[in-house]
Amino acid sequence: MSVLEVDRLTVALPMVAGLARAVRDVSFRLERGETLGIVGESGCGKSMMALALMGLLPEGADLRGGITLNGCDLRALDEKAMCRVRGNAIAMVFQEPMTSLNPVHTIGKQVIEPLMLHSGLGRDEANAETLSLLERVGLVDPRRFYGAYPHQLSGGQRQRAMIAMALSCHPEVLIADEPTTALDVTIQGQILDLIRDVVSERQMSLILISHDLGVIAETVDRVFVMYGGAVVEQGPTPDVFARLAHPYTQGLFAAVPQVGEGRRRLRTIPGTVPELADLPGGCTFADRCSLAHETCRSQVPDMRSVGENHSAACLRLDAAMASSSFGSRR
Amino acid sequence: MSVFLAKRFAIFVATLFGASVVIFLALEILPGDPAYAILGADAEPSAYEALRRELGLDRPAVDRYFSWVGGMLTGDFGVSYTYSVPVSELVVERLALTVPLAVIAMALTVVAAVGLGLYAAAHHNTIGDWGVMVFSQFGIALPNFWFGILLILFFSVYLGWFPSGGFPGWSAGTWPALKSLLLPAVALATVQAAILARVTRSSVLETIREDYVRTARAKGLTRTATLWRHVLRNALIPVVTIMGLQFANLLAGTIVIENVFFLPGLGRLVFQAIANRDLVVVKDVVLLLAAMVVIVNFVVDLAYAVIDPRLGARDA
Repeated sequence: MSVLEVDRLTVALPMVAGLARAVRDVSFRLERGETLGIVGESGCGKSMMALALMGLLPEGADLRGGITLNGCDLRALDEKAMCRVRGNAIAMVFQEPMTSLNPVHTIGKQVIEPLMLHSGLGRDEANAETLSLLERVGLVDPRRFYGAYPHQLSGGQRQRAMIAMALSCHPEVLIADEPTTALDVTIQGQILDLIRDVVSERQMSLILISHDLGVIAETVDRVFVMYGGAVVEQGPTPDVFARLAHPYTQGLFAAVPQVGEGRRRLRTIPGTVPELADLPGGCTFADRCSLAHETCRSQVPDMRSVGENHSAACLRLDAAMASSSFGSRR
Repeated sequence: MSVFLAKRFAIFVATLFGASVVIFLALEILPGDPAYAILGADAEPSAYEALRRELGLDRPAVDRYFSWVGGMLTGDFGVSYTYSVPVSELVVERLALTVPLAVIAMALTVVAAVGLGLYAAAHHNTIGDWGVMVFSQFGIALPNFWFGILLILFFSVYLGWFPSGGFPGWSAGTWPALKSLLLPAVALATVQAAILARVTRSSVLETIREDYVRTARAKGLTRTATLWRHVLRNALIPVVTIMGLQFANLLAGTIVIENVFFLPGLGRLVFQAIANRDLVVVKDVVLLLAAMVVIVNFVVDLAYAVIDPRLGARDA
């Protein structure tokens, strides 16, 4: 049985401009120990999907579809029961370690909180567990960090504390939403290594959300490319990176600057991400796609197979793969 | 932390010095001669001169300022012209009423304001929220002396639950004394609580949007637990600031309210002293009120450091 099953998940948010369809018809299964990466530009619905899985969507959001965790239908749970799942069976690491920790509580108090809520440990045991968690995430001299306030820690240390907090109750699914985006490049690698290590050590399943293709390529087994709230390409990470199928994925890839290519203008994808409140009919990427035909603007593309377990939602897949103007880079 | 304390203490002393100069100058400039007030306008010139000498009013102003301040530093607060007793005795007696009155009023203010503010924020954009907002608007618009009179009419005259004024003294027992302070405290607290409830509400609403509140929810805390454990303390920082500022208003309010309820407190003392040109009492009591405001703000500064660990670290 899969740890997490997501079935036709759709999230709509009321906005001034109308209903923003932040997530559209996303389905997937996550097996125990599997790692899934979700990649896309800002505003493509990645974070909303994470919040939907946590049951923490903003008020007024409309959520449809099914979320099943270990056979338990999360959608059927009331708020009280959902509170027992959050931070316990499914935990999350957020993007901004600077603002995601409470400035007036010590690190220890914040890490021990989920333990006291869910684990049933006594004060002393929970204290000991907190210290060992802090040590595990690389905060050596855990007693000092236990009593420290967030402002006394660096960004990397704060993110380590966030990870300790998320790990505390041995969650089965860990969601990391841009965990390294706010950090220095040198620290990014360390934090990614830490996440990778604890995930494999504890046989957790991981959903890693990032706009950074490098981060995704290094960390996850399977990758989803999201655009305009929907998945446009998915497959095992090596396959996707070897054969970029969807024109959007190709563009995303071409936009990554390469060391050793000399000075050249950075390549970009023309246009901007469509307003989620005003998505074009047909293929949402059509307006920015050099291969778009008339049919692309009227017909919604289905997922088509590109290889084993690898598929993309594009009506002009053959042309895209043939021209593959940016080519594969592996 | 000790640097923080030392700095605050220096500010405390400097403020009191400034206040003493302003008070002294204001009373020098204001018309009204205590000697005439005591003897009457048609007094004999010789008796008038003699009294002025006795009161020390014939000495130069700078002299008198320093003997006033010097006297206070050595515990000599002077003697009241009208009561002919040491001011310190008068004040201590009156403080036994005004301090409990201010403390009860402040406590009522905080409990009502934080309770209502939290409730309104937690029920943002519902009937409960709007109700709190409408009532607080009324509260802000109420003059406290008028509200005090309404309270007397309803609770003392109509229901007969509380005395309509006067103070039996603490020797008459704690409950009778408290009973006579309750209505004035409510009258004082209403306006303050109305303002503070609004500050609390908007501060809580702002804090709720913070990332760490989402983190707390992601840990599995319920909405209510998040509000108490993670939102409230962060939201209190601006609330405490306003509370400190309001304390000065509260003391000013006691002057009026003590007169409405015929309470022999500090406010009533200073009011009568002004009417009688009892300048020694006026100077001492006004300086004492200033000191109380400064001390409360000092306590507020200390409270910041307790609430927000970042502040203590920055200053020390």
